[in-house]
Amino acid sequence: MWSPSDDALLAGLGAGDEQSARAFVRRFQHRVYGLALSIVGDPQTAQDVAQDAFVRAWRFAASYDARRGPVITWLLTITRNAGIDVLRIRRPEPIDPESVLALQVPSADPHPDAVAVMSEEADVLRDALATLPVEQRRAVVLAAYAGRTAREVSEIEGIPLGTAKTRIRSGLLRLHADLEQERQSR
Amino acid sequence: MKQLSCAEFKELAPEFVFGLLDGADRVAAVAHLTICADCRGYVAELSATADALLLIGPEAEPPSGFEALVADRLRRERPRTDSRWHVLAAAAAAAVIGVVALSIGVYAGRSTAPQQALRRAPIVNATGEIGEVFLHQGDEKSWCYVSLTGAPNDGVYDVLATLKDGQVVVVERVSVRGGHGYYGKPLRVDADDIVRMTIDSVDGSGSYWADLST
Repeated sequence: MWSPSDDALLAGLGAGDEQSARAFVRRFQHRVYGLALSIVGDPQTAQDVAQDAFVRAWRFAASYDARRGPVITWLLTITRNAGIDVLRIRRPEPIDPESVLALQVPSADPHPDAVAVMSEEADVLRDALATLPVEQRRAVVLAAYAGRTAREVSEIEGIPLGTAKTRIRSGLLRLHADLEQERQSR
Repeated sequence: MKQLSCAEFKELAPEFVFGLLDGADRVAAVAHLTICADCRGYVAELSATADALLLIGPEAEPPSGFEALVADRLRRERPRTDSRWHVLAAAAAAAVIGVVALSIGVYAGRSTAPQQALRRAPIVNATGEIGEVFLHQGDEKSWCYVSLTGAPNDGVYDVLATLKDGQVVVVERVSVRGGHGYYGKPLRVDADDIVRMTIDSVDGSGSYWADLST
């Protein structure tokens, strides 16, 4: 069965077409809600954040630039910003890094409507993240998926601020290097 | 404003690409990027990796009825923004003024009336007025309404508030199309503490401000 592209659905959402809007939400809701939940921690607030992300996507649909990346990346960036906005207003709940690491594990049974992002790049990144030194992986996961600043990572992990910054930066640079290597090998 | 060296910027860069920087650090980082092509390249590469991380991020089943809830919310919000921008701007300004009128009504039953419930200032750039900002100091919440009606450059802009103590707070990110954009929402800080609003394009192509110090 023919399925509209992500870009087409976003254009329909931006134009106010309700069918497109519903299809857009159906296609991305698991990823948007999942990221919102990992950032804010509780289901009710996560639902509010996810709703807010879709409203922002509708409002800013015209500013989406396909040359800068796929719709899903743009939408998840909006979701991350919406979640972090909430954390800034309401101080974040204490978090167990292991629970975020568990959330990060890709779902074994992905929803059929979810966009399958199974590119080689995603596989490389997943492997690279799994093989980072555990302290770097925890720091990167807390920053990327739980919206925690370096200062908050230092408090959660009981380490100096400088060490937290170094772990986030070293982990991110190593992931970047692995991705670059994969791109150059194509 | 704090001036960053490239080394200092690179220390902040991971938090910048994860969207975690706030206040003065974010403003300083954006300012550095406007003048340093090397760091723009560095942050573009890190951003690509940070964005790619989102693609392998967590998924979860939203509560049942989520799709319908979003559809309802979009339906409620749509009429406010589908009309022409100037009509929208007038309506939103009226809404802010309505909030103020309501507040004054509430205050009317009290012994003291608000001295300065609503403040308005023009948003300007080097060539003249391109919009306006309204700030409302409410009893429990403060509100901010920004209306751009003649921005020279379209794109995405950060709305920043400078407080009396010099702290800079990121208020929101707005999109400008055809020179028009608006933002209206409760503030996380007291409106009475704001002395200046700045609207900076994220790509460094434009900067506008409103003086609220008087």
